[in-house]
Amino acid sequence: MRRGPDWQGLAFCLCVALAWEVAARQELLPPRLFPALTSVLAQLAEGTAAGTLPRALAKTLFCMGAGLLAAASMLPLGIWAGRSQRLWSTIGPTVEFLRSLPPALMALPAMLLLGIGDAPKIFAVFFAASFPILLSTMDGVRAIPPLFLDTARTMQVKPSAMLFEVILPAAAPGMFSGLKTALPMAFIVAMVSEMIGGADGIGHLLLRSQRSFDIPQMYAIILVVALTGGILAQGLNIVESSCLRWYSGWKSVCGRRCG
Amino acid sequence: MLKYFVASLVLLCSITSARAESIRIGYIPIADCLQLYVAEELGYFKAQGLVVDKTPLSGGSLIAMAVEGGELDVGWSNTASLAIAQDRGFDFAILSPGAFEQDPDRREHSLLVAKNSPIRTVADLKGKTVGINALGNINEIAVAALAAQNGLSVKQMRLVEIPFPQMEAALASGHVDAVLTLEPFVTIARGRGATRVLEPAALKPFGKRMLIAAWFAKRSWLDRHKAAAAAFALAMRKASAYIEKNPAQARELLTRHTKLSLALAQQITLPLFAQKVEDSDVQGLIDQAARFGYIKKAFPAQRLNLPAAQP
Repeated sequence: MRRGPDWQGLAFCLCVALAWEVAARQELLPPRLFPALTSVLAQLAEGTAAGTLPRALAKTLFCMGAGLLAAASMLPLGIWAGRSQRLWSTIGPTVEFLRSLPPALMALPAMLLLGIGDAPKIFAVFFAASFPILLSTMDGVRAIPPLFLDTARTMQVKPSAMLFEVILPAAAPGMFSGLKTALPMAFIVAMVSEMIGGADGIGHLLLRSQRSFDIPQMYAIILVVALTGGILAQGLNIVESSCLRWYSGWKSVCGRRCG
Repeated sequence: MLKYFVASLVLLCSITSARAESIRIGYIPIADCLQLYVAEELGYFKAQGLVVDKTPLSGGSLIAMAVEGGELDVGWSNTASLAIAQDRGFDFAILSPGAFEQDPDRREHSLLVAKNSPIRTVADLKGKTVGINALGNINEIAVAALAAQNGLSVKQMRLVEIPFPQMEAALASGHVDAVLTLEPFVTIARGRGATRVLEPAALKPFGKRMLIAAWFAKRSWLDRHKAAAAAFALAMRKASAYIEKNPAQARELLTRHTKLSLALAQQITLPLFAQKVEDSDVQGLIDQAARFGYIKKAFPAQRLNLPAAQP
């Protein structure tokens, strides 16, 4: 099923951009607080050329990536928790309790213990991303159609093969669902923790622009953040569809009738 | 019956129409806004028919945005932010001076290090980490200027942002080597005895006397509300005079409007509340800001429309 370029979506985007430009020029809002799209784009180009925007973005993505990598340690834990009801009864209540703590604010206590640098930010991202990954992986494992497991057991599959060839692929939809939730959260939390006692990164640059009355740069940063978030999400979608090729095929054939 | 009704209606109208002009003021609930608390408690606003609607906010830039957007009429901000706003094309004007720093004993800002730190002079900060509360603003300009005075470039230090209340802990844990902090945190740290003062007058590169903060409004608002602006400025002037003549009462008043305890309010160094601001009180900051690139170009202090003195 081939899909051509999304003309309607693009047209709508352009309409919104046009509305912004017109509204700003007509000074419907205070002009110094709501600059025209053209001046924002000019500032974006200037910031990119000067290197401030790319450097800040790279720093934020680095902290975000490091935190996500740390959170990937939740994948094996999630698989284990999905398979072992005893484990979940033990750690479950604590996990549920910790889960309600606002992740971005975790950067503040982390600063007291881990210092002022990247460590508290990475910790905050790790904290935020861990729960969706852990819980979705666990749900993914629990949702494996019993048919798969029974068939494998009947075929007397070795434990390692059971894990890598049956459980992991079958739990993959759940894992990716967790990753798709964790990724935008990681990005947001990385930026917010930079605003609480940071020195670099795109979130800190945003706060600093507001403080220095650099309003066009503020909007330019917001555009960069939106673009980056969109690209990251799309990237994950592409990875997911290639990893789960078997899943979409199987679903379209089997639907609910299997397992 | 009707006679009484009409009479009371007329009375009510005359009371409410009696010169009651309302202004919305944004401020931060700290000691530096003392004039506002004094003017309100001692009725200086009411005496001029001014009704004041005050809104506490957490930062000067938020106040500036609210004033620019028309949500507030008058705001409180540090002079560096006003200079930066001026540089970026915002059109704010100073209505009345706020707090000043002055040698030798009216200095609020200090550079602190841990008590057993090997750092003895500002020059020793080369290659070290310094904590300030907000990057790109008055404290960073001060550090840049202090560094230059001691033969260093601020680029040879690492500057990080730490909220004021966390500075002492950051020093104690060794995550930073020095912090630029202000009252009441300087006095609090002195009381706990774990820190040492590296530089007792961290803002001295800006001059022997300097205006730390001021009450400002948009120039367009000023032009349309000349009477209210003059009334506000007069009330602030009277408040400044009161504070300088009655420091004990002023300190006690602080405890009712900020979170300071009475003991702390009596110990902290209060800023100076002078009646009149001169160009030299502001020009030093503008020039240093331009010198280190925080604003694009220096401009004459008069452009911030510093108010003339009243006899």
